[in-house]
Amino acid sequence: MKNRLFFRWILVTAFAAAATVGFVREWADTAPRFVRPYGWPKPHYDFSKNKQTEAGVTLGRALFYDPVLSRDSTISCASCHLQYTGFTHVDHAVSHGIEGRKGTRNAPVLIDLAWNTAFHWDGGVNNLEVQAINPIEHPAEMDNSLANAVARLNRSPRYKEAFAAAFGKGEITSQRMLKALAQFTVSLVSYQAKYDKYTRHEAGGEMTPQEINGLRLFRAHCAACHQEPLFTNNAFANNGLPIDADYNDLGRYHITLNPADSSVFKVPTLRNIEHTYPYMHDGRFKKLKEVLNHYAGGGIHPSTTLAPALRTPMLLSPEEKKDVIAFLLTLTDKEFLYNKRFMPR
Amino acid sequence: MMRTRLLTGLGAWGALLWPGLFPCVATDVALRVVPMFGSERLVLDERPYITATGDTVTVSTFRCYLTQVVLEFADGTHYTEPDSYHLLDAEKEESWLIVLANVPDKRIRSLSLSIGVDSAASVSGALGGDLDPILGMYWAWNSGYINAKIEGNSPRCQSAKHAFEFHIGGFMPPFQTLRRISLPVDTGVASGATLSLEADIATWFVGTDLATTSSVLVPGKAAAVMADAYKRMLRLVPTP
Repeated sequence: MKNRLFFRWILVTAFAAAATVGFVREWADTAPRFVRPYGWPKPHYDFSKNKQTEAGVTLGRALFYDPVLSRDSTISCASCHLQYTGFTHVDHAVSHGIEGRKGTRNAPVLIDLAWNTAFHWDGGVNNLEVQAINPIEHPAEMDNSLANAVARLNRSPRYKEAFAAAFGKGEITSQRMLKALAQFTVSLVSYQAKYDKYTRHEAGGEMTPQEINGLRLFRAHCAACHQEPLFTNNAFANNGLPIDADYNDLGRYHITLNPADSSVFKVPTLRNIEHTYPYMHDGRFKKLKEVLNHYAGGGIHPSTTLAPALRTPMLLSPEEKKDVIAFLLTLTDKEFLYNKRFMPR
Repeated sequence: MMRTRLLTGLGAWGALLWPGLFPCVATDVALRVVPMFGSERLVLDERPYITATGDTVTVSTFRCYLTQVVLEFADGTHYTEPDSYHLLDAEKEESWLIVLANVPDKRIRSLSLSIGVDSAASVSGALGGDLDPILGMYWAWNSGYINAKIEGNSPRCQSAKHAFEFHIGGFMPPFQTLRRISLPVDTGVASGATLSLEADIATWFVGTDLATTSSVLVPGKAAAVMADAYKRMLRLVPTP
């Protein structure tokens, strides 16, 4: 009898010890992970070829915040993709790279990338992993070469150790660097906005009548392109902006050389839009009010490639525009914008 | 007793099945590809060559992907090289040799391969080995591989420094530039031997006037036209 009790005591202790270790490990684990929110479509990104690990995501995050990738070690990915503003460059119509060199397009947000089927405003990049080559090599961004960036990492004992922990021993390759970055950026999922809690009937999801009316109007006028829950249909469209003569940017036409793609750009997500200003592919609008006036205030520039959904005027009263904006503010996700796991160590 | 019988039985079956299960009669086949200009060996930078239209050219860079290598045997069966992506670089002689491992030891009837990288590899994210984007054969802004490139100079070019640059790629319709070729192998060539090829870059200039076209650097119609021209660059030659 005594023996049996003792045995039971051992079992309980062992279980408690295991549980404690598990608990401690859970807390030591500060790396973000990809989550597929309930009811969302299957992600487009192929996780089977790049399984997320704590070491991999942690490494990707370190790379994301490290200026070592730029030619003169002055800027990092985070220089133009700031977390508090939805991982875009707030207040910059176009961003500046090393030596203050300016680009020609507005830095896109890094939100829900696992569902993106193409990257960049022109959709020229077909896989999240190879996207990062662009800012590293672009003369107006990091102006480095991929070879040089990888060579630098190979000279760093700290990175040698981190890559070995993530991918096993061996040379640091561009493939490993790009996969580590993707492991981090694919974790940036925004799904805790008031809107999300509203659709899930959760606490914190109580919308005002104005916001509810805004959602109704949004679904009627905007959702053809900005489809829930991602607030994009992953397609490309000419949204009626006249061409800026300074940039003469024809968008997707530069990739496909198809005249039907002239002035056609990627439909962006609207999540966290309250903080991601300025808006549009060249950041020409500073305020949401200007965006609404463009779509529903006679701003549409006619053209042969104009999106069919914009060929009939969008009729919104001034009050209705305010309601739509009130709804758009419910897409702000503070848990995403201030998620400690996304922050540098 | 029981165990002995069992072992004997297994041994007998094993002996019967062995050759079928493990075709150990396999060998390596080497493809050796020598960069040429017409009938002359390609020497980068220094040697001038004359094109079919009489223009003088010097070449500073020649690289191309040779992929999806398949051997067809006289008995109608095939050998398909796994993970078959090889970057041929005129500057690196070690890249001129492609060794196909574990090829069945049979007479080879034909060799087929592609010039360029297929669409599957072009959409698969970050890759390594000969497909490492570090190698200067990858377009980051318009995801995809440069299937083949040559660079050099010609007095006929109207461009700065009389330079020409042809970076040929693109896997999206209607301007795909992947080209598949099939070369019959002479009856004299047996397996185990080296198959010798020449990559004749004089073919690149057929149908292109350097005075009007000195660069092709994006996917599109011009790239597809040039891919059709250089599709004829590979030829099998007797192994010396």
